[in-house]
Amino acid sequence: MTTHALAGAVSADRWGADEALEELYAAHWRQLVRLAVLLVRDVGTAEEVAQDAFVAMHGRWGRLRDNDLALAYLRQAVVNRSRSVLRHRGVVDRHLRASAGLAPEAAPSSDAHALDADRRVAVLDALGQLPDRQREVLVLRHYLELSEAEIADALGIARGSVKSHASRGAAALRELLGDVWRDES
Amino acid sequence: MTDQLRELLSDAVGDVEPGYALDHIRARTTRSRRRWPYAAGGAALAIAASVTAFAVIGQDNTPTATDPGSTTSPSATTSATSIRPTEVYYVGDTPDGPRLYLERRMIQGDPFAAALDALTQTPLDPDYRTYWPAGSFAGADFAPSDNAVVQVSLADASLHDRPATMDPATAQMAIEQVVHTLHELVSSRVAVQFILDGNPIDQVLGVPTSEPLASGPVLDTLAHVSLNTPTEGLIVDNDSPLGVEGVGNSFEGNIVTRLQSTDGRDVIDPQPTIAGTYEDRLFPFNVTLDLSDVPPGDYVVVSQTDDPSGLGRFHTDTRNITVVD
Repeated sequence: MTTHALAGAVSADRWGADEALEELYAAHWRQLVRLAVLLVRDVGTAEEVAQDAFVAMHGRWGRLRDNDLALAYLRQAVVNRSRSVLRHRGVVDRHLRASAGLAPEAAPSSDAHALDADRRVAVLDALGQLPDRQREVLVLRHYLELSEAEIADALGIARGSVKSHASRGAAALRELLGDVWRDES
Repeated sequence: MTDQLRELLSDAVGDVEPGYALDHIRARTTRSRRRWPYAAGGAALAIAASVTAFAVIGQDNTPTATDPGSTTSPSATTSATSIRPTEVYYVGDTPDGPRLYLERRMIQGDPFAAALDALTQTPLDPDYRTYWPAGSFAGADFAPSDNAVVQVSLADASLHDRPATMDPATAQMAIEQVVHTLHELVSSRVAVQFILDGNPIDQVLGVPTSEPLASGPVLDTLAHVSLNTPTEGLIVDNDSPLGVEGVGNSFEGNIVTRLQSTDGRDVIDPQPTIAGTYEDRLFPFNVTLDLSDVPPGDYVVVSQTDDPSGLGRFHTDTRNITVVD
């Protein structure tokens, strides 16, 4: 990045932040929304989470000034905001379902055309049942394909914890997915 | 196994095509592009897009319906059961009397009915209150033939008169709760018409409502500091810094944020930030609190405006949070 050369000039900082925003949006918007979907499930919420992350990254650009650091920050922001949303939603969701008398989600269809959709639903459902850290580690490891060190940095946990969350998470997911997992192998 | 997991995860979101959002994000990062006293959340705009696309034509002070920022993914608007956030305005106390604070609430189904229903629910923040009892509203309509007026239907005539226990300023705030919450929902300062049984009602809580209502001046209506994050009751890991974000308007733009123990001692030195001042709107601010030396426990995030008069007339917003290891 050439923005290092511009350090110190306030106007250059702002120019750099706007440029970086556009560049990072073009390159990573879709993947970051998808990352958030794996974490929070709902697409509308995921877009909100990813937008918040980009806004936060823009505000922090003066301290980042590097696309790689900014991308790491974006991923971290998506994970942290997703976790906040989930904690908040736990309360709201139960309230909404109780007050609206909503039926639980429909059982997966056995229609052959719906099998792909069913599998996606099953995977997202299963992810949703994992503890936060296991879900986060699995998604960063296997969806973003980050290294253990990168995940440890992103989540602010020790590398050893990354390893144990990853193995426990994978085992739990396998258990939850049952047939879906086996069908795939 | 690892490869299979990668395939399962990629496949699970492989059909997610998010909507175009760069203009929304730019609008939230560039003050001069903001049209509203606060930065609306993306999902609230997503709801607005489905409504304003046909509704705001002819309204001279609203964003244009063709604003590319209104583009959104079908998945965000077509799923009737998806849960999405919007900002709801509740009432809290300030040295200048009751003012509105915003609180992000998750809504589901018809956004108008859900947002109005949220107005009748107890706020998450115990410092806030609402003046609208359960069952106040019968719904809301927003259609092109109404010339961009949101019609809010009252359930019955019980709210026609101001209760003896409510002063006129409070009644006015109750009306502003509805107007501001709907503005947030449609991302536009549309007029709001209260109706009963299909006809305009002459007053609500004693406030004249024969004509469609606009919102009052921002600084006379909204609290001068209001926190978006953290949310009330948030559990945070002290490994991660805590981002505090809100909107405010303060002398020389100064807003100070501190983390206090539940008995009112500062746990982290007060952190100054600059929002804005002078204009009749609120400016976004944010500050990051380093929690790495904060032991687990319950704390209060306090953001406060500056008062050059020395009379201690601060506007304050607080959030209770729990810090864990």
